[in-house]
Amino acid sequence: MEDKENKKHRVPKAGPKAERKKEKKVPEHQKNVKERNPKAFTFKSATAAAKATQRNSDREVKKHHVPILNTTSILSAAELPPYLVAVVGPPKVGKTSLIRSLLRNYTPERIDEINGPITVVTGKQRRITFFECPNDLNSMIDIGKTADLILLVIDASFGFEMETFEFLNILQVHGFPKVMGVLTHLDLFRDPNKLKVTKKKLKHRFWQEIYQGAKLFYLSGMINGKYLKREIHNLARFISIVKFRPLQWRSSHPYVIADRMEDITPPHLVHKNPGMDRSVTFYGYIRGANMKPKSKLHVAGVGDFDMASIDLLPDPCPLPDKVPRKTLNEKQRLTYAPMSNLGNLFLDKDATYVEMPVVQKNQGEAEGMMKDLQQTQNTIDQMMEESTLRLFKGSAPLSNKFMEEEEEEEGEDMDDEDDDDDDGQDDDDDEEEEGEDIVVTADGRSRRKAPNPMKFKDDEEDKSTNGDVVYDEEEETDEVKLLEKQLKQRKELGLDDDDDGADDMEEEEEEEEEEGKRDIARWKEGMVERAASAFEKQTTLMELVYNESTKKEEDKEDDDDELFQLKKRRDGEEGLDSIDSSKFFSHEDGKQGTDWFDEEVINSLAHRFVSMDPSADNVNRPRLKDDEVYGDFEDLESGEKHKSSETMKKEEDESFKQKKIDQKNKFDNKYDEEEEEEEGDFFSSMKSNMETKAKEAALEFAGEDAETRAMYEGFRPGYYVRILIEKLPMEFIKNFSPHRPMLLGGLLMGEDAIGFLQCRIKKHRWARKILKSNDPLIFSLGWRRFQTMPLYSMEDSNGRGRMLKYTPEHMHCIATIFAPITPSNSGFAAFQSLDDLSTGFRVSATGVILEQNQSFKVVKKLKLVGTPAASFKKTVYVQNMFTSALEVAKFEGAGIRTVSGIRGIIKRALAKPAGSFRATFEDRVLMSDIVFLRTWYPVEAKRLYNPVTSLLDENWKGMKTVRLLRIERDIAIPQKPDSNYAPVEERPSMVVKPLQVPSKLRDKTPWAIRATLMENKIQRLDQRKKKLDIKRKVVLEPEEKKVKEALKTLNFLARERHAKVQEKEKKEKEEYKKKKAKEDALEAEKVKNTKKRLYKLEGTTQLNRDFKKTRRTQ
Amino acid sequence: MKGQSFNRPVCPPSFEGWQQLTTSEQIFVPFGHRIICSILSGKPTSIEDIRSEDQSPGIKDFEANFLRLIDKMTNGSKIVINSTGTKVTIKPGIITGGKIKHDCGTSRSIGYFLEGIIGLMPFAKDTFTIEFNGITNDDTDISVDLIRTVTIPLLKQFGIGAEEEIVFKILKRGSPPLGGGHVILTCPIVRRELNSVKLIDEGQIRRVRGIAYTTRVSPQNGGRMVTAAKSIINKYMQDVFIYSDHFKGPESGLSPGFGLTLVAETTTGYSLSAELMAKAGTTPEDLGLAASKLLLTEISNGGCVDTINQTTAILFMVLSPDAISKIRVGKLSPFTVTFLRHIREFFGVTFKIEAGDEGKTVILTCRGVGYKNTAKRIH
Repeated sequence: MEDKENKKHRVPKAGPKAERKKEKKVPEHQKNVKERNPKAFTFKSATAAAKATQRNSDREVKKHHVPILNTTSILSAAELPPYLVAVVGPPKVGKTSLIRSLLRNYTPERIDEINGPITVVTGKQRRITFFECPNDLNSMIDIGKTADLILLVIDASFGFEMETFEFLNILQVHGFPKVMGVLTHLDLFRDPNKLKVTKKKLKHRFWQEIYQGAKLFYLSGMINGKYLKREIHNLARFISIVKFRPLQWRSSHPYVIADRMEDITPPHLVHKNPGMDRSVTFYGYIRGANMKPKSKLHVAGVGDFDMASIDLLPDPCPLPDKVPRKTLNEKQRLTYAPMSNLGNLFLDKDATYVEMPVVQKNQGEAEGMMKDLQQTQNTIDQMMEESTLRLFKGSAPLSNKFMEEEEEEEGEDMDDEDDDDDDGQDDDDDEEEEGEDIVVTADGRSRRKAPNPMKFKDDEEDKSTNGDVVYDEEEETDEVKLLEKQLKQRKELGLDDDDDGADDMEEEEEEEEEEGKRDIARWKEGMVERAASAFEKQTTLMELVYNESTKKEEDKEDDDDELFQLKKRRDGEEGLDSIDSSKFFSHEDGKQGTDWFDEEVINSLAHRFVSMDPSADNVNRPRLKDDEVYGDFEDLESGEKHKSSETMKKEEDESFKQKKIDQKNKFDNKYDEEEEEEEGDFFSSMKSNMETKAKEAALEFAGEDAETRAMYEGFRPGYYVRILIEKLPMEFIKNFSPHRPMLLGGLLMGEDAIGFLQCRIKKHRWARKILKSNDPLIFSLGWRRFQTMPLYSMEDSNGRGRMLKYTPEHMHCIATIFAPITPSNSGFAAFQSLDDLSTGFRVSATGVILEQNQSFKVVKKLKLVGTPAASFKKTVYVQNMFTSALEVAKFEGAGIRTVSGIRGIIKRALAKPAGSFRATFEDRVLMSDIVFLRTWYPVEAKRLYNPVTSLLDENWKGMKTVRLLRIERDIAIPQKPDSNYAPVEERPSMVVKPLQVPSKLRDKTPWAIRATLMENKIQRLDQRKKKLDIKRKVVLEPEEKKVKEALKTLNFLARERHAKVQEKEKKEKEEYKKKKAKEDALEAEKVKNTKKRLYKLEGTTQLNRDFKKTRRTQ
Repeated sequence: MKGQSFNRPVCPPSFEGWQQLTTSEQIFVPFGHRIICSILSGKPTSIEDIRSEDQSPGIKDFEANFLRLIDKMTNGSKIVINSTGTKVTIKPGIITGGKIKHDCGTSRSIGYFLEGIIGLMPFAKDTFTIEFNGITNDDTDISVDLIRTVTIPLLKQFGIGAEEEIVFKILKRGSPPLGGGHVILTCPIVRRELNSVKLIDEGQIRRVRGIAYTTRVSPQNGGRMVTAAKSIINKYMQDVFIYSDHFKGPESGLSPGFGLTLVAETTTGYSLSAELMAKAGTTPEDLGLAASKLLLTEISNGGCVDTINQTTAILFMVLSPDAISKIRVGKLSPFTVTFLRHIREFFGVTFKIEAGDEGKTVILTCRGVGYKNTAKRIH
């Protein structure tokens, strides 16, 4: 067989296959240049090739993001919390139908009403929690922050709605989870062509928003109110194979989407005071990171709370223990939807409830009575309270309240105790309930109590006070004896402190002895062992370090006995008080007495030194030849074993071999590691490093029990827990709606503090208006939603933050907000209003946190203006800039400037006009100039933090903007008269002096210009002369005066005469003019007439001539 | 506590001392550490009944001085001390950065202040450069030499000073009582997160180094200390080198003094240390012997982190990322035990404390809180 040669392959040269191949082969001329002539395109320069490789690797690195640990890689499928799949969309697009159809695909259970999260086991390795997101922005925000996969339902017949885009924007800032689009209402299209076009259009729009090729499903129609089975099945398959990306915020913060909540406030207290704060327990899977007990929680829509307690509960919807070979059977397809009244198991701290479906059948009389009992709205206590008793006929009926009032004084103490210890109260209640097996809820559902399979206690204080085991009141004598015995042993071993917990224990036991001996019950048999093991546990270092409460209680008990007590001080206390130093104790160490020169001591420490270690083959090692003795022997005094040189040699050989092997292994390992490192780049090594660390962390405490483990590292994601929160506002219960998500977000170290944040913010390009500084804005940041008043600013090139009145239109700016401290790089979305649909697009801005601080410096420009009071060479006295010398002192040395651009510096305040100062300038300053000082005035952001309490009040309305208030109340915008524009007084026209040209220059100029210049000069001289004449004052002699006087008179007379003559001439002239005008008119008439006659004559003669001419020619 | 067997850590006796509002616990005081924990965790804290029943009640001058330093280092912290000084309330602010000068006074040495704030400096907004004036070496607190040779290399294990160097300069030495020392510390900030550490392998002692300092005394004293110390350590180890560091003129501070700091380095790169400073009447020989005995005690106790630096290591373990950190220490000092309780109080971190190496050493394991430098600015 092996020798047989295979038949050779013969390439077909004819026939259809050969034809096809020929067709495939591109003819040479059709190839592009590179293909045709590959040799021409090999690399020619090494630099270019290097550049190309560099560019390629750069591009590769550019794709990398800081790796985030993916918890799925560490946890097994069973340990992971169910994935949260949220169905989001505007109303009436088919969200509920979609969930129903999907559930129908997964589980045989039927759900009447979809309320709250619904957890389903969907496969061998996967569970899913479905949640239908209502169409309010608050819920959309909370869901956007928590959902792992979002099914975005879009009504294709309508197209995209604003809500969808708003939601996508919210997702973008909070870390983008996986999104799948689902187009519904496709059956409304009649025209298949139109359907095709719409589908394509919607798909591309969807891709643009998410990423090219994002998954979009088409649900083509409904049959009997359900989507087509095949399509839903397809969608379900896609859901089951989705890979989830780890998101930064979620992988570092724990959170719970509560499936259920219960008000556990004692009802009688609520009855007394219906407005009191409630204690509420929330149930749900922990997601994200580990949840530390007693950490702070943010209940979205309510506020920040301390976690009162957290308990681990058994998983109500676990994956099947045995992984089935093919598909899940019906029993394994569990569904858990406590708020939709589905899920047959309810787990509480102390009990498990089994849901019993109500079976309709013929009721007997007894059953009827039972039903009646079940349907009563009031409890027996209430009915008792309301019932009245009439003692005498006609007397006022006595009610229970009346009785209570009387008893109140006595009862108060009791009540207080109850208040203090809620847990105790619960326990009592539970004990009472234990008798009756069926619990009836308000809506008539019957629940049956089953024994609790697991019970976890977390309360650390409980633990520390009671030790690890909760001792029963009736301890057994045997047990006591055993304990005593152990105690003795422990003391002998020197394990116990003088007065630590043990004494306490003894006391307890004594008390128990006094109580009397009782018979041992069967079930208590194991208790001895348990107690013993607990005792051993107590001696661990952990207990010594962390348990110290026992002794203190003792002290306190003592205090109770007497009113005053002498203060006792313990030994060494003073020393501890006076010195708190890490160094102190090392000095007082107990080994002071050791003789360090002693050979034995030296030998015993030898292994700690390189040079002395017998296993180390070191040259430095001092060899002691004298020690060699014959054969092995044991030094009975010191207990040391000595060995002969032969055995030593043998051992040495062995150890040498071992060492060699170790070395080889070490080398191999190192070599392999190096190789691995070389293979993977920095990025992948970082990633794998993270993963190994996480695995290590998971393994470190794997051996511990759940309780201890939670103490070390908190509750891990995937645990189903019950979280008790106390002092929750009553409105939470009153206005509770299962449709809205209950998000309990864990807060990390320091995130509960409040301070100022600076963030980079940009107005959303779809938001209609720019945002104004100090206008309230609602932020969704971290887990929280809150209203605050941002102060916008821009950073100058020198790092100064300058306040802005409004955000820029298309640019980022910086906002300073008063908000809870949130880590840098967390994104946020901001809204002006969460419910006002008239604004069009509700997301007003988006951004990212840059910095946290308790104060930020944002400034606005302030110009202080002054005028010179006196101006010397370069020194100017400036006034009106400041009002006091103190103000001036603050600005000494500050740079100032005049309007004309001369720079100067403030020197010193002047004594006289308050606020004036001396300043020096780089040049002479005119008195008419204005001096100003440019300063920066700090602006503080407003300290407003107003959490959005949407779970307390559905119609939560925040603080309004000033603009809205003005519109509402019809208030005009206040205007400062100073700020109004007024007509500017016109300047008096300037008199321009004639141009002066130096004579030297003038003489050189061409004649034409020179003439004018000369003229100018002459004129100027004349003017000057005139001016001089006017200015000159002439003092006259009396003679001259007389002459002048006479001349003046003569002149006057002459002028008078001249004036008269002129007037006469003027008159004559006018008369003459009139006369002339008349004559002219006559003359003109005459001429006209003459002309008329002449022309006429001429015309006739011409005519005659023409006539003659024609005659002559004829 | 003398003469007691130290096979296991000792629970310190509690007494009427400092009390925090959040607990009913009465814990003796690492004052600085409480303040530091409060600032790092962002939890407002009040410390009550401070020496309220003492002859001189209230906080001491060095504690007030410490609060002053904290005030300089933070922005927005509100520190209120009541009129009697028996109650201190602190509302933490944000750790800033920059250049600071601080006079540590003469009641406690610079080490007291440095040990406290070393936990704050990496989590500041900007790099801190702090100049301290005061006592550099004394017998109550960690000396500047130990900080330079042991604490700073320990910080490097956590990734502080890995990229940018921690610069620590001793410009002048100052011995008690008058001090006059001058040191400068520049500490870079943590950009992302610390490293989680695993300081488990003790290895063996590779070499011993030391510094014998002398100020305003004859430089011969240094040599005498060195000889005495070597006389005993050479029995165990050949590679011993002790520098004698004599400070002259204005660099020698205001008071005479001498002391010896010894550091044993292991093959695995860790350091164990001991130190002793002279008191009035101590001869250099006595001091040299005593200091080396302390070092040998430290070595016999074992561990990868020495007793003095336990708290520093623990603090950084808690602040390290959400992963497992492990260290081996010789013995838990009572100071450390108290500190562990504080850590649980402030950070909610419980350490897993196991006896390792047949009970000779103690292994501390914890899962860090993933502390991020929230103060730092991003661009």
